Amino acid sequence: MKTVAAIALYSFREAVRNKILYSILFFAILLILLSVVLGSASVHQDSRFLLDIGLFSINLFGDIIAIFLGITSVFQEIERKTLYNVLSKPIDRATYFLGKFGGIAMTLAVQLLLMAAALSATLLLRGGSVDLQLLGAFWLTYVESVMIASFALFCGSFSTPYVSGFITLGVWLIGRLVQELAAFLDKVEEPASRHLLQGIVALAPDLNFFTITTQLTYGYPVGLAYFGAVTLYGLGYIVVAMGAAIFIFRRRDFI
Amino acid sequence: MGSVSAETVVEISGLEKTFRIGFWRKQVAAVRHASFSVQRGEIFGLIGPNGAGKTTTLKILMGLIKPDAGSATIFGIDASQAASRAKVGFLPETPHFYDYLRADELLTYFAHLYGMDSKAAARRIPELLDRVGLGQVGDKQLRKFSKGMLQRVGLAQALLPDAELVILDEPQSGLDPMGRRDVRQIIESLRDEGKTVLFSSHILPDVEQICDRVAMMVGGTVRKVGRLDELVDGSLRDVEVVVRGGEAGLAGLAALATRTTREPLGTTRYLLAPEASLDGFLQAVLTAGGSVLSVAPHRQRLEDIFLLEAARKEAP
Repeated sequence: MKTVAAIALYSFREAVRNKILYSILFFAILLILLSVVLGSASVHQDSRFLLDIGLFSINLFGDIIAIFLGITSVFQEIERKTLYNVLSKPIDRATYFLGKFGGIAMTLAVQLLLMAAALSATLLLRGGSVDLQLLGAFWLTYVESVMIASFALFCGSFSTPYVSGFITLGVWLIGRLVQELAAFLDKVEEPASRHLLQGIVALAPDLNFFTITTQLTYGYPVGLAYFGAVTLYGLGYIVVAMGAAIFIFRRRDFI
Repeated sequence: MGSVSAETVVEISGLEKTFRIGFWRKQVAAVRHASFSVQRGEIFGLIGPNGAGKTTTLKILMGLIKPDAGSATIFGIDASQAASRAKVGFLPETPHFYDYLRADELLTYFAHLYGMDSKAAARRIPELLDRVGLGQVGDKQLRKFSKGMLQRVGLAQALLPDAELVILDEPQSGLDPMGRRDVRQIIESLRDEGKTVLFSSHILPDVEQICDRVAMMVGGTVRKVGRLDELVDGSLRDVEVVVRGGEAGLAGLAALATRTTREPLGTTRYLLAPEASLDGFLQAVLTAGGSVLSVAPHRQRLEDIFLLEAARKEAP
């Protein structure tokens, strides 16, 4: 466990040095601030508008950062050959991989905290409030981004960043549209396509579960059980993705 | 030479590895049925030309590459198991590090990977940096280090766990003569401490100077394994005679030598076969009016065996 923590800490240190992350973060916070300007144009709706755009920004940019970190962190170590010095120590490859995952999870937590702080501060300044429901929304966004990062890490365990990014983006899109795809199932008559679509709908994570913006903007309460259930749902996908990634990574040759 | 006990530290037996390269997955055999063992306390050199399979063999030992067949063990534990590396330090060929870290930070990170606690690491690291000649620059970022300094950092991290076995892949690569000498001294000091050292190298004079035994790899196979005095018999290869003047009798002298080289400063270098009469040749030089500047016998060296084996396509 100490070794996983050490790898996670140094992965975090490496990740936070990446200027691309700061650019993404800058755009996320810019979009939150812009929503103040846009929201002021709507009559009596500026807080709702701010919440809507703010949570959307955090979600979108959080996932972009997750994909970026997931596809590059291990690949860079292989490309730069720094991996040889780490894997030649008495550590299992699973330990290394879990450490890298831990580093990404830490980086995502810090990025999300910064974005959440920007949105909360803006909301408070505009006369809105920050309650447990909003904190819960931030938490689910975090779980989603960690889950996306685990998919990216899985793809990164066997392919290049471009291919991994492409596949993870595909999973992300399907996850966003899974309810629409399920509704579309009845209209597909060709058996093979129908079975394929059924498989995709059954296996893909439904990312809509992690977004409670509508409930928050319209004031519908979300129970603790929901947060727990969705967290477990995300955790399930993370465990499967990481398990598969470690299985592949353990069999790789580092020439 | 250090004392060699019978305990086997590294055992490689029938090792095979084939890579599939490129779009068409072309098969390239990197290691073919390689076998050798390294005993406790010895300095073992793995030599061979580029592409001989030395680095692949060392990477299999460090668990970075999985063999297709055969076995590789360290202290009796399969090399694919992390536990086999608990008492092993490894320096990869041209090591790459996190360049944003300072040397002491990097070593602290690696100390944690070896399971050392912070106090033990804090004691060990300055001592190691001093040992590799980086005591004054431990607090500098690695991006400011030269290639030779990075190689020293690599050596320091290989010595970090107070390892019983140190595996070095081309440790003298990219070093200036002083750096090479320092590495040689570190390897010799490891032997004095009773450690076992397995290293690959192209620099044969250094191998000759410090190794107890060597394995010679060519084309993925181990061609020769043994003590240096078993592989290199030290027999006379030829005798070199440098002569000044004597142009009048040059043709006659050349006929007695296997090779004649005229040099710019008016001297001529003759190589005589071991069985040729040196007395007769020297007499002929004097008769021709020349003077003998030097006579040097050339004995068989590791390089001769190396070149001979490298030139041979397949093992007998």
